[in-house]
Amino acid sequence: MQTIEVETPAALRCIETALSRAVKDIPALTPLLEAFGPLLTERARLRQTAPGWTGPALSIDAERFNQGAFVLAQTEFGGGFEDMSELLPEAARTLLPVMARSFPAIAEELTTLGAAIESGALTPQALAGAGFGESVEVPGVSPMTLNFAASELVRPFVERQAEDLAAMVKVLPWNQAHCPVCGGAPNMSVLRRKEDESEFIQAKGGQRFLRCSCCTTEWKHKRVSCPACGCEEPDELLNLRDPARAHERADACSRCKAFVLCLDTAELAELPDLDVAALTMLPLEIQTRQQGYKPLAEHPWSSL
Amino acid sequence: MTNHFADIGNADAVLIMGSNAAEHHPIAFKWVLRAKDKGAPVIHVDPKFSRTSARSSYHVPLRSGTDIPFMGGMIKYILENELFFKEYVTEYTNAAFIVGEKFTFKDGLFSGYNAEKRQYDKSSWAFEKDENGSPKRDTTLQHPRCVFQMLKKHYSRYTLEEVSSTTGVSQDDLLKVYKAYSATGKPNKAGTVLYALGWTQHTVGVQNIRLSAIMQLLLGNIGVAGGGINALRGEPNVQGSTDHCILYHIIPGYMAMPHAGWTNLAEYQKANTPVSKDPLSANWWQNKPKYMVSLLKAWFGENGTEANGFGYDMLPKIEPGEDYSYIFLFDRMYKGQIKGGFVYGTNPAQSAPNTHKIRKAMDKLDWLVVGEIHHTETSDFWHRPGANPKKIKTEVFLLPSAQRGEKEGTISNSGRWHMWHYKAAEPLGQSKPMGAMVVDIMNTVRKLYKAEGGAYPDPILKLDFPATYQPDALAKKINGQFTRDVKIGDKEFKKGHQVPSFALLQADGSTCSLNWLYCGGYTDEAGNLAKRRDLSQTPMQAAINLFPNFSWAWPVNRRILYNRASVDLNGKPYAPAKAVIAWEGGKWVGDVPDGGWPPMSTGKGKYPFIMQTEGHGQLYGPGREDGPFPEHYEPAETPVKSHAFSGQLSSPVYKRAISDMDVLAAPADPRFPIVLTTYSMTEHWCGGGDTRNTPALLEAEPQQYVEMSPQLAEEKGIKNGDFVVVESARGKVEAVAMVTIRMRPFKIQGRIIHEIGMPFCFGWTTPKCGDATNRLTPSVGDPNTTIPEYKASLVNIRKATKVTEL
Amino acid sequence: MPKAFLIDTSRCTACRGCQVACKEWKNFPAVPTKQHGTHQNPPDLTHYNFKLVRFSEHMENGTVHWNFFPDQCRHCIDAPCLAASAVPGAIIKDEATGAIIYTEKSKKEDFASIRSACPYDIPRKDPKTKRIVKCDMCIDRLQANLLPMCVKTCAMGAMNFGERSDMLKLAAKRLATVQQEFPKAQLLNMADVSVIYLVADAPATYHKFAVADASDSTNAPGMTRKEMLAGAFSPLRKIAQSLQG
Repeated sequence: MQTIEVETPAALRCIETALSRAVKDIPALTPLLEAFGPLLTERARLRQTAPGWTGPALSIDAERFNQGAFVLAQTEFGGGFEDMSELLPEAARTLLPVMARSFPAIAEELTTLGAAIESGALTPQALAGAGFGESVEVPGVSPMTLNFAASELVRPFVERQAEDLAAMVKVLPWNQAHCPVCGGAPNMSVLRRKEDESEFIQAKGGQRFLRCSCCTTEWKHKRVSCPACGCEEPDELLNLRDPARAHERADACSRCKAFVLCLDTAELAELPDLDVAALTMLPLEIQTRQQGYKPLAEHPWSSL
Repeated sequence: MTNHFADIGNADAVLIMGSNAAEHHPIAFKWVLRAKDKGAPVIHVDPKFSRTSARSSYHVPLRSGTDIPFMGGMIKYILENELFFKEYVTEYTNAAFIVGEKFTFKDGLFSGYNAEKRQYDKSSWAFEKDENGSPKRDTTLQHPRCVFQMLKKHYSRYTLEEVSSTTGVSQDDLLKVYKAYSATGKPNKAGTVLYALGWTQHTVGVQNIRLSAIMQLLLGNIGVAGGGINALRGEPNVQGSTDHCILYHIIPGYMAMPHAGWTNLAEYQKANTPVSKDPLSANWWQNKPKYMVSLLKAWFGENGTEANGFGYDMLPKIEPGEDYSYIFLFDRMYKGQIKGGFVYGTNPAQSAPNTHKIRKAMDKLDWLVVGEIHHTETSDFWHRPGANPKKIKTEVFLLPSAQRGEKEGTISNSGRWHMWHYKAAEPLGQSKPMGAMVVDIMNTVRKLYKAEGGAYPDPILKLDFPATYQPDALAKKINGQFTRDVKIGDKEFKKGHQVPSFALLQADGSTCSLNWLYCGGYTDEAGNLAKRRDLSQTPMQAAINLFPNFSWAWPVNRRILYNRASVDLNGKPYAPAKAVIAWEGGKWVGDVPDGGWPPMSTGKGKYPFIMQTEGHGQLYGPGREDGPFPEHYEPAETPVKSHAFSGQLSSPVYKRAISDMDVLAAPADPRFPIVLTTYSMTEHWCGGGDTRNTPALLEAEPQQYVEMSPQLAEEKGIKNGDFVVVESARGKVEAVAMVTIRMRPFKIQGRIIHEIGMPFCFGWTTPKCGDATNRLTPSVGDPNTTIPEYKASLVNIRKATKVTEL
Repeated sequence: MPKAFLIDTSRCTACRGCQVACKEWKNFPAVPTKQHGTHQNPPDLTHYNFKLVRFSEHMENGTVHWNFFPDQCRHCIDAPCLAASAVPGAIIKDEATGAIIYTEKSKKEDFASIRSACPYDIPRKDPKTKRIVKCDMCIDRLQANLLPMCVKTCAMGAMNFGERSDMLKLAAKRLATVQQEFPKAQLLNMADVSVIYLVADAPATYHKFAVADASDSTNAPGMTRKEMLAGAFSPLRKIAQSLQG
């Protein structure tokens, strides 16, 4: 499995430059960028300090992996990420205020949620559960807000663990459209130039990497194919895009009506942060949905 | 290619001869460098130092037309130092076969030579047969008439001294190459040979390649990963067009063109179907009748019946022994025997040899149709410099062609990968793909025949011909279909269904296929396999960079031909680290084996070279027109009067056109002392028809030049950048002198012989860029293929006082 | 953050893709050329050729050396042409990228003094518009976050572009690799320029102006600008030397 490793400090810088470039290029998106920008930055900061995978080194059955059994499906102890619930209250102290400033409409609920965490009314374990989609009730906080906030809270820890897990299967072949680490569906993809100094001719178009909607692991996936249904017929595969921003596309399949956003970095001077890139592609995402296509997986802002 | 591009990276040594791969096959060269990165020596043998030489481990300059002595010396070196792969040679090549008593080789001539006809009667070259009609063998390789001993004797004359004095390569350099390359004779080592037009475009072109085959067989380099003989084709789909019969002497799938001597299908089949009684020989061509009948059924459909030989009776037939290739086609045209013709995507008035004659020949046509993107020297021949358009009767039609990106279809790359490409844009204006032009024109002709009749309308009206050009439908028909419901073994197939594999093609008219090689590439179950882009592979396949699910390769998706020679008699790979196939648990794994039979040791196996009647790699090849062993002959125009290997100066059987315009310089002609070689260049595509119309490329390479050594320039009083005239017995070309250390004088037979090089891409339709280099080259060709000798002819060069072409 | 190019000539095959792509992106017409005894064409940079692959060859111990040099403006860190500029706003430095840009106002400059100020002989004058012209680092593309055209088109990996700090790292890494085969390999004027060349052979075997030309035909007393540039006072030089080993 070929994955891309992102250096974390560079990642922070990357978010900032991508955000300021996006604001300059697409003024209409400013409110959205200003809302999610600080959240992305804070999440990246949390990820930097988060512990990685501290569990045992996994013995991965290469044959099963090759057939699609992702890493967490092969763990002996229940098939999930390691429990990070103890770290969540601390993370909530920095992340929830940032979210409250960014999303005034739910600011009050977030404050209530913060108080519930501090008081112990919402246990860290229940909070983590909410982050993974379990239904948990907190008086004064809507289920939607609770799930949104909780999943943003667990995300940095999940991403950091996934980084370590992905490294364990780096050399194994992976041909699936789901995440090799957690089995999640991709909500983003990216074409990256291949740098190989032993080669006489450099590939220009780049290889496609799908990016997990849950843990942001990236994995190489056959470029001319629909990750949802496997269709390889070029006549059925569309690249929807705004000619003015040709490097941003929605790769859609007219056979199964699925799409995944794709950032073509082959010609880009600077590689933007992929969350910011996906955010700037929201207008394209909306247009693509309006044409009757459905994403393989959503972004937190997809439903806004 | 016996192998494929990505396989070159598996080589332990790479020999590039007669190819400028870095400039003309850059993607292939990427794999060469991968092998080099892993420690393989990359050896470039070529008259000119090019960008390929710059990237190789070393460059060895050699005089054009002396590849056979160069490699002959290597054969001697391999045999005398016992560097050959003994088991492979004994078991898998015809080294042990006994040659018949009547065979002789004396002073450069093989037995059976007819000087008047310039032809060999090959019957005396045959093997000695046993009572079953199979060749007699001596596996001790001691019999004086066994191929191994004959080979040893034949090349014993190719001593370092003589080879050096003929090729101009120093003895040190010869030994350096021989030593480095023959190290691949070890069972677990592989060496690859890459060649291009630098080998083929000679009067001994086929024998150049034959000798490399002998070398590779001795070293056990055929059928293995990182080995093989690999032609880097000069155009992306040359492989495909050859498979589908762009050449006159074959019909699709490498079957002989019917000639008037085979008056009916039975005679054709009898003459063309080899027979072997050896149960261990697959003799694959014994299936030819099935492929031929399937082809006829694809051409004539319902109208092809048993009564008319499935349409064979209606086929046009050539005269036996006649040559209809380029050189002779234009010779006939020059002699007024051709009224008109179609030219698509080629520019003979620029790229055929002895171009003055070609251009004059075209004056004799009544009509000419040219399918092209731009005006070319061919479409515009009637107003070329020096011609009077008023006196040329030819009516010329220029049909605008679609560009590559404006059409869909397949190409077959040099590695036989069959790949679909998609249309990216609609053709401009009224331009059309060539296929559409042919289909539309033919349908109009059919209409006319239907309405007006004709002398013999059947061959045209009874064709099973499409109403419109549909690449997908054509691709399906190339694979082939069942023409009726049939039961083969215990399997039933319905009429109209795709034939799953060529093993199921039939000789009874129940199947059709436009080309048996491609049968299995477009099936009902899997669809069009040329569209596959799947990179999945097993670890064994990954170890040799083999991607069985990416596109589809003929035959039957086999990526490395003759791969049964990569394993020992028990099916165990000779090179376990880069195994191509292996017999494991009662089945073959890895690549698709050359036939699924078990290993030889079971007694139920088959010899690996299944396309040969006897199943063995041919060290001795009695089928060629110019002898069973490659022998050095000088080019048709040679700077020497004699050579050390025999009294036979040039090939006794090379082909040549004879007319008042076909003049040759005498051997060592004092008027033309310099060797000329010609080539392509990076900035211009083939004859330059496309790229001379691309301003930025013309800016980078604007004019005809001639590359020459500083020594020659000094001798001739020429300075870099001077205008010069290059002259042969047939014409003159004006050029700019490019004096460069990349060209070197050769020391041949104790004296200096100069060689110069010129690109062939410039033509007069681009103002002031110069005109065809091929006005210099002769209409002489290889006796097997008639490919012209573009790579070696004689010229002289002088400083020009005035030029008009530049 | 300043940008830089690393032009690794050891990987260049003189396919001239960069030369052609440059002028195609800028929509420049082809200039009429003649064959003059070399593959290098046009013979020199022109107002329609901001990028030119230079060819040179020599023999050493019986082995041919054929060197290729994709020549272009170096976008000097302390640009002598900018210092020589007499017209405000005619030659400017884009701070975001480090690109040296000649503007519309360059019409009013004295072309001879700008050209002679350049240690690499890059500036040319457009006879029609009267502007002084040269490579602008594809500033239009950079502002749209796109790679310069020559970098985008280079199939061999010879042309690299990015953050200066990243390019310096890459330069050091490539130098170490190339030096294994070519001990003479070096990086040219690395501390002073934004376009860093890696050559495998003596710089003079590539091009007269491969390294900064310290001579000055005007022979003015004191230190000329070229001498200043060639001088070893740039603070970055130390870093460069440490990287070069």
